Amino acid sequence: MKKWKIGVVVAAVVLAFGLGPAATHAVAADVIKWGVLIDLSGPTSDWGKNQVKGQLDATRWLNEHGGINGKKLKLLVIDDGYKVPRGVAGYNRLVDSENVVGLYIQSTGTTMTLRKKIVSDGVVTIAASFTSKFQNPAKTPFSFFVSPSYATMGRIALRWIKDTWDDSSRNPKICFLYPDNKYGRDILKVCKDYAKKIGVDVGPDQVINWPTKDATVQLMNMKRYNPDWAYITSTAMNGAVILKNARSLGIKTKFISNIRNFEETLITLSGGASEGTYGVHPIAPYGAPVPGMKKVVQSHESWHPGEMGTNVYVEGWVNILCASQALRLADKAGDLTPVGIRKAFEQFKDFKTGGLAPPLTFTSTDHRASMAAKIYTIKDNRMIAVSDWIELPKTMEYFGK
Amino acid sequence: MPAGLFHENYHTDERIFQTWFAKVWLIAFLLGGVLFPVFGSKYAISIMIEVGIAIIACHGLNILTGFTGQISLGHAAFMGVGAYACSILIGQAGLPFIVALPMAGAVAALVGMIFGIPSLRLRGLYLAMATIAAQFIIEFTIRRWDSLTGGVEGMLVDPGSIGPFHFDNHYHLYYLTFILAIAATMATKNIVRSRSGRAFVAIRDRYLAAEVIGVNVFRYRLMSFAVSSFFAGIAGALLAQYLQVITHESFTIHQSIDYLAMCIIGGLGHLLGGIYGVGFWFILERILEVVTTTLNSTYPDHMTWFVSIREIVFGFVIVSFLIFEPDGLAARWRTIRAYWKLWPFSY
Repeated sequence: MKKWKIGVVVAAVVLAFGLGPAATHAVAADVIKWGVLIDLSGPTSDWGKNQVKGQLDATRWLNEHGGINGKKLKLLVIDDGYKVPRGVAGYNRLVDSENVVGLYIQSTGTTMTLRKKIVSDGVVTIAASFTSKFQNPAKTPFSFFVSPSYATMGRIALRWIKDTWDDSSRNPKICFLYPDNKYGRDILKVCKDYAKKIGVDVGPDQVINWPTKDATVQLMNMKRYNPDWAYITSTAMNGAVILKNARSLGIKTKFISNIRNFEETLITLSGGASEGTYGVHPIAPYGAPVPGMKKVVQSHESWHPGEMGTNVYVEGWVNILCASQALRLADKAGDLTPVGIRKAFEQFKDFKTGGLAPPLTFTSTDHRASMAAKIYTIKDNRMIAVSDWIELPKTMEYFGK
Repeated sequence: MPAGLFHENYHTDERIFQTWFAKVWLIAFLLGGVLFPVFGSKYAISIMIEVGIAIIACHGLNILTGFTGQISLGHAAFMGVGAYACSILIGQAGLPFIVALPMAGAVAALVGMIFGIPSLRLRGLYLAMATIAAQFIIEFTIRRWDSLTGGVEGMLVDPGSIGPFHFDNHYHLYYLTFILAIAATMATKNIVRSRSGRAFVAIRDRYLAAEVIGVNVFRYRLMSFAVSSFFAGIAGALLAQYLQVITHESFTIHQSIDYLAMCIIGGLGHLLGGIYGVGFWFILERILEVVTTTLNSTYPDHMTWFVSIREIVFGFVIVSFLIFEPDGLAARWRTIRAYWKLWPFSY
């Protein structure tokens, strides 16, 4: 027993001394601290790990190429395990203790829970949760995200389905598949309303909860309605199960995945069942022939040889490219405060990321970054664009809903 | 002068603070608590609010699981009931906070009693399953009762106030939590040394014997559920004030399990168990957070290596406590105290 106790003490001392030097050289002058609150150990960790990899690589690349007007950008990553209490604790630590100038928050639940606090603290946040609720600066003045909202992408998919439909005897039929949470239900009202408007018939919803182990019952229910299309709101890990089940049931319905489901890991996880399915996505797939992709691929290949690049990784790059641009503008204006950064974001007018994402625009009354996405399909285990940019008009009809 | 602590009657035996030494330390502790916001940072204060809320919740769980021996895996759900009840009573019914807070506790107690009814027939693992059902039913209700709870989008909480104190101010909320945590500790202490408390312990140790000597097992079990859920309700109402926005995701089964783990670490069936457990848990969590973020930012390329440290250490700690210290830190503290009492002249 005594030996055991001595062991613990020795371990503690070693750890303390080992970390001591690491802690002291961590913070230096001319460093801009940016927080990242992300799931690296919970149910969406496969996504979070790729996202954070992209953000860290983009930061490294940025710092090697001049930083933010010569200042270094430093990411402070906290794992929240996709749990709200840990997310809130991590937020408090980043904002109150580390004094970050802004942060990235992944989990929808955490962002929703913190929405009042973010406004009263006045901290700029970039969300991974693309809900339209964060697009109205009258309500959430400090929230930004770099993509069309989930509902907008749903509408883009519906638009494309309608435009490519050639049977004039009837309307196309669609079902929505989603988990019963904030994220899953986010698009329903807007998309159903829009579907009715443009003439797409909506069948019964199928609720497929996380973690998805089997979706046979829901797919059989769906089969009775026999829709032409099924729109999946999920994540790759869970969505892969749906596609595999659909293949073994021999379902003829065509599947179209939302952004969080449609990523390269879906291809590997679904074991071929994703072949021929579709997805709506604003971010370029890894390796796509766009000018901004060169540095992304080079960085990934030299820093992570042998690993798979994904569009989540590319999205990580886009997040940092946007944040760094806002920080650069705010720094140039000599106002590197949350209010200054917010103003800098609101100066974005068709900000280009070299084709990694559609051009982004924010104004002081409208935080809808863009309204455009492309439709992709999976062919020979690769994502191939089947449409050009589909852009919806920036009308106020579904603003903030 | 007696060479030790000797009790000559039951009155002194049952006294809460048995020596002047304990009283002095307690006063020092209280002073420290009162003065804490003067020197504590904003971050430290928000952590202490979380600690206070967790202590109240853990006392509740300790009464039910530690003293009465009824395992509950639905404690966070009862906190959710309190959180929503308090926020609805303030926001929609327009009641003042000072009325809404105890009523939130009462609503949670009522719901707790309803889910406690199966305890008449169920024991041990089976009761644990029944309380898991409570967890899921309550969570589902919160998610789907859109008109009342705001559904999956959650609910904005109107900040409560008592006189000049407004609880969207963290300093004010800190003092409220501090006072209520002390009140909860005192209430727990007094419950467990009362007639009902002895009945709880009797039921825990051998329910059949308790029944034979005239303890109404069902009644006391229900009472235990009610008291426990009342504490949970109060803790939930405070959590709602702290978070300002509540969603069902703040009251998941993970939280319930965390509270149970805190109680096990601190010591089930010890008054101080709740406090030690919560203290240990938060300190460990902060240390791990600092360790992992430092490692992460020093070696960003290997970030994925370090992210699981927290899960591994927490799992390891709980297993170690179950094996080496099943009575928790409270019992360890007692052993340490007993050792030093006679030091250096032990037997």
